[in-house]
Amino acid sequence: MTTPGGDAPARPGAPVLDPGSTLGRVLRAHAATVDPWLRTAQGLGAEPAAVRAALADVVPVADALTATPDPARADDATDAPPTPDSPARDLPGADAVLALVRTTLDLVARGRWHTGRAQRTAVVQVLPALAPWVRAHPTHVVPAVVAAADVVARTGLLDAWSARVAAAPAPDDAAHVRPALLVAAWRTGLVRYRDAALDAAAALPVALAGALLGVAPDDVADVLTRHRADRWWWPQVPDGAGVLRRVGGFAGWGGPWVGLPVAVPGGPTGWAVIADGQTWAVVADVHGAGVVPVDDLDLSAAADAPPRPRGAVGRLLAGRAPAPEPSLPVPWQDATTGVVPGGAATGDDVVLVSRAHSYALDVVRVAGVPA
Amino acid sequence: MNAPDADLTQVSAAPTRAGARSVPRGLALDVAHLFADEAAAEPAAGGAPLDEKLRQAYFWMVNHAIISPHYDVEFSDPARPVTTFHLGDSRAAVDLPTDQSYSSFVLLPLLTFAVRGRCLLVGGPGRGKTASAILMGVIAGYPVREVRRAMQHGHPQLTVQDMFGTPLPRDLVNAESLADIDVAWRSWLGMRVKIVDEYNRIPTRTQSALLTVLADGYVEVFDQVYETGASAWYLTANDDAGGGTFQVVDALRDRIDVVVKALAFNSRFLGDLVARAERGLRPEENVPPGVVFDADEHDRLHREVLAVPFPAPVRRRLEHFASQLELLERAAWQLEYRTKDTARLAGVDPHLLALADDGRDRVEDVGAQTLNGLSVRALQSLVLYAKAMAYFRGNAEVTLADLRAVLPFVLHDKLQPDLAAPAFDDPEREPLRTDRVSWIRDLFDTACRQHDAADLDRDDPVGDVLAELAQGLDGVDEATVRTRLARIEGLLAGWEQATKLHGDVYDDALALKYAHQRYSAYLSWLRWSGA
Repeated sequence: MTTPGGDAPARPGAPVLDPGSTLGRVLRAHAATVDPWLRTAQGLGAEPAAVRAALADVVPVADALTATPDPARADDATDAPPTPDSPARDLPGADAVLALVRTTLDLVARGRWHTGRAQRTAVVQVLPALAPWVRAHPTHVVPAVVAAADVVARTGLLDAWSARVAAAPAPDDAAHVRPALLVAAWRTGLVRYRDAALDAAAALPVALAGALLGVAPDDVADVLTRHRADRWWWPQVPDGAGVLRRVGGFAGWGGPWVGLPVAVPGGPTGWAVIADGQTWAVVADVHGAGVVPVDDLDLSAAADAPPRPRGAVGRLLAGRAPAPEPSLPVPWQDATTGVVPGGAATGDDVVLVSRAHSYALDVVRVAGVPA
Repeated sequence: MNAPDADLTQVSAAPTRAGARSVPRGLALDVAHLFADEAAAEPAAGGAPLDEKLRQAYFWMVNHAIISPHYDVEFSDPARPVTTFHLGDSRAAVDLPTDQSYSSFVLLPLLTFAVRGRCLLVGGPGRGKTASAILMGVIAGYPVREVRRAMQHGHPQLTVQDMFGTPLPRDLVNAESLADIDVAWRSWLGMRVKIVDEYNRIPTRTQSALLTVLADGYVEVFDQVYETGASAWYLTANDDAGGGTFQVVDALRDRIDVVVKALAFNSRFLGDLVARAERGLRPEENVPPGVVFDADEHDRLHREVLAVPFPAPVRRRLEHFASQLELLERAAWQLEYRTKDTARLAGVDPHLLALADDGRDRVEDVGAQTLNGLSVRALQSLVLYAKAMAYFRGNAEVTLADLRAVLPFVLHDKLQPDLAAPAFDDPEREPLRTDRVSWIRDLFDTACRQHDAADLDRDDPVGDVLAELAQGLDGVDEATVRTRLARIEGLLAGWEQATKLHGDVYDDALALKYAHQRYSAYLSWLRWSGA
């Protein structure tokens, strides 16, 4: 969904806002509300031409947000109106459009409205997909989705995240919006939010939590409890021996390092990596994995870690390298350079493996505890 | 530097410094991180930790308020070597720091705000000195108009009453004693941020009154006293080297904790000035609420800075450095008086007496480069600002880098260079005659190298003696006391032939004399009491 692009702001010459469009009609009907926002944006440095271009960009978004209003909610706005001027009733979805306009102006004023910028993408492409959510709680959903999109997009998971949120019913309570977006982010693969998301999911209504997690509502409590105890367990995920997840990779292909990584014990998760002269902590679970550069790791347990093969010498050593661990159920033939049991955090039947000819590490479930 | 279209009222909700003390050390992230880039017009519920808030204030200032794209307060990660390039015939070094570095012109005033110290901003007209001081007033929560009105402008006719308050005319006529005269105090005296513009244009008498406020926190007019309370002071001067209308009183100069120079404007950032003028926005009128400290937070900030530990190894470096500066071997006969202060009080140029010293290497000897030593007040300021720097950087305790960073700014006006010293004769070191910040930093680095060469971190017999003494004498028997006295005498005897009288040896000798006296007095009591 997110397309790589330059950082060129919209320029004059962009399509002029059609006053007959849904957005145009809402702006005219609520001029008293919007005018102060426009003045604020201009005061903060937004050029009028850039504002006009940005509003023209969101005309289709406004159409999508007002296209199929939910009849059950047409007269039941849960959010307070953005200003004392209550939106006219003859424009269903006006609240959603006003929230859209306010966030768009804020992004323009803050220099965030650029092609390829995740927040603009969130407004233009994600919000239409979340129309029921936006109509239900416009002033909560729009800024939260736009802010979270900036974080989620950095992991390349914006599409999956927005699809997961869109597949869930809109929350009845506005207070559930942010926890729901957090749970969806973790379930999509943002593993560092795991602890916060598990707590948030337990507090959500089971129908909403179940839809976000991809489990039946009646099973939510059991799944959360069991997964909290074993981060590698999840319904329908095979629990046999084998590679559970790959971690890291070569920088040229979007990975974190340019050298071969070596898995060592240590750090806050028990799994650490030495690569490019830097230590990294590995954070992983059944839904996602990531590495975080960490300084001053205690790597005393890694004192006996084998040196990393390099260049011609490395190739020579690799040629003489011992066979892979016979107990490792892996689909490759290579010499391992590090095998680290999970320990208390992950369980000793799951190990982190680095090898001589791969820039990625493997999380492997083995039959037993490695010697 | 941000683009000119950046939102003036935006404060980043993301941690400004990973690994800081108040930033969670784990890898787990929470809901606040996920929604970090939401427009933050209001402070978060519960507020950020104060050190994080202080860093947010710094970054808001450098990004939106003061165009100061300088990183002269450099920090480097020991694990990552600094990359240096040399430019021009003078081989001017361009260092690329490997840790978060800062602009002194913004950071030092902010640290002054945190510790409620006294900051002097010097530099040519129109460099942002006053604007920086006004921002500090706004960060303290005062409306910008009130800050501007409260600012005192130095001029040659400024009287004590102009500055502090005037007696009510009715009372002057009717009063039968001074106690009957009510004084209408100026409102600025009660503010937590006080600004005195062009302080070197204030007449000497008014300077003396100002000194009392700075030093003791009270004002006296017609026998009426007004307690001003703890506050951060900002004084400005276009030229602090005697270029004002009046010579600044030495005592007033000594009360100033830190001196900051307004750095030259980098013409590459003229575009920011143009954009700011076009927008007609004043940063001081758009300070985000998220970086404003109310009175309670200001108090707590000060307390938290004071609570930052100052570990012994760093303290020892400072002790070793300070001890180098005061000794003047030919100033007296008695050991305690062999100091530069003795020569100064006698009206003798310490440089002339230093010339008579022929025992020490005057190029390597740090003390040979100064005309004075460090006052207790200067050392207190150093400790306070080093703590503030550590607090700002999120360190659990003061590090040597924190101390080294603040040292030149604190000692800027407190250490007088002996420009005729041989250390300045080297053509390579000529610029240090004018660059006082680099000179002081070089002094400290030299002292640290000597400290390392002497292996004083591991081998510090005098420190051991003092540590033993600090444990107290209660229950120490006569034999032990005699052993310790013999050890002290043994140390002094060992120095007799083996070492020159350097500044640190001088201080150590006096410390041993102190310990010897304490043990001797205790031994006398022990024998008298028959214990």
